[in-house]
Amino acid sequence: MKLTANQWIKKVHTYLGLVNLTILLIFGIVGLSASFLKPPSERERAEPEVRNIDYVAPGDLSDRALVDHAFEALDIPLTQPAPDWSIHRDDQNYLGFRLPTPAKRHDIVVFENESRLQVTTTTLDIWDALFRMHELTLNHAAPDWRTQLWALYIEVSIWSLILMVASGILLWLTSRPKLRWAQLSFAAGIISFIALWAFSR
Amino acid sequence: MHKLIRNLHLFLGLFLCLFVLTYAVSSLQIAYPGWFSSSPTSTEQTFVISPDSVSTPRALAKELMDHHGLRGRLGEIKNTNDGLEFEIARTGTYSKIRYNTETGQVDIRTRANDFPGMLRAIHFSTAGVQTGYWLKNLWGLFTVLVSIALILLGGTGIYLWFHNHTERLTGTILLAVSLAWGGTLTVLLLIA
Repeated sequence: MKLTANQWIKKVHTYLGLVNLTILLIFGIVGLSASFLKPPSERERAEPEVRNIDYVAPGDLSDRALVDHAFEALDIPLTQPAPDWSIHRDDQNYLGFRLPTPAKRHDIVVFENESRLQVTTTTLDIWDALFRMHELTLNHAAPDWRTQLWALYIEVSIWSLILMVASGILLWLTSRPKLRWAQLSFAAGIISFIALWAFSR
Repeated sequence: MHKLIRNLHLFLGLFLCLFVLTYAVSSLQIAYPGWFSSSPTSTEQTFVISPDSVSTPRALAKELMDHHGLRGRLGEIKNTNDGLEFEIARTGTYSKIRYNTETGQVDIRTRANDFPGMLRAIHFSTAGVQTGYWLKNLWGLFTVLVSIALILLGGTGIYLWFHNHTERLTGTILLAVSLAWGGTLTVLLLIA
């Protein structure tokens, strides 16, 4: 059976929607939580867990190289080398850095003279974790297979959103273009967006 | 019922399509900053407002908004060595104001985003519907509407697919992929 253009577009639109259902629901939840909840820094957090790990720091390393060495020694799941902004020396000159994951934050201090690493792990609440997950794209994800697969899903969803908008409009235009309420909805959305944009300039 | 759901899906999608597109395109900008060149325009202004005429930092901000063209949400007011500084911002335009409380000199540095920058600003800064500035609240309202719409479009889309009997098998496979891929990884990332 030969499909018409409209049937093809409908097929693409439906398939994209089904593949992306989970992530679209998460995007919706993230948007709502970001709109109505207090910022993460003002929300109640779980008590951080502190642990000490034996670690012998090699001598003569720069701060960056020492952080990378400690990162490899720790081998914490879902992490990637510490971001530059997190590397610092505290008032006692101990080296500190942060290894974030979607659901946790690991703050590490290197006690070179005591041959240990202090790892303070803070578990984020579910809203903060989902927010971080919605930001994970292939360019920024840790090399772990779970984050890579998740980032791939996010990338697929971004392109799918664009295609779903385009195919949705085409579906309307090729099936029920004269539907008055559809025309009004489309016009109201476009006018609202342009008006908000214009007032913001 | 079917007609109602079908129309809801259509009207909601059409009403918010430009907003959804903005989020999608700005996500690409965030993921691949090299693909989009963005150069905000910066302007600087300097003038004097007598310290006698502005008794509080808020009065100064109001004066700037009423008579010097600044619009937006008043940010945190910080004390500096010679006075104070604060920001007045709206989506895509940020003004940093420094005020010398001795001389009354006001220095304003304003950065206005271009088109790609504006898309990104909408993505980043529109959450919240009670920010104290009506325009930001309106953007925030649309963020809420888009968020609700994504959930409703997903739900109504599932309903419409399920009533299309010719697509049941392929659709079920794709839905299973979505739930397995998205759902399993969500759990794995949350517990790791």
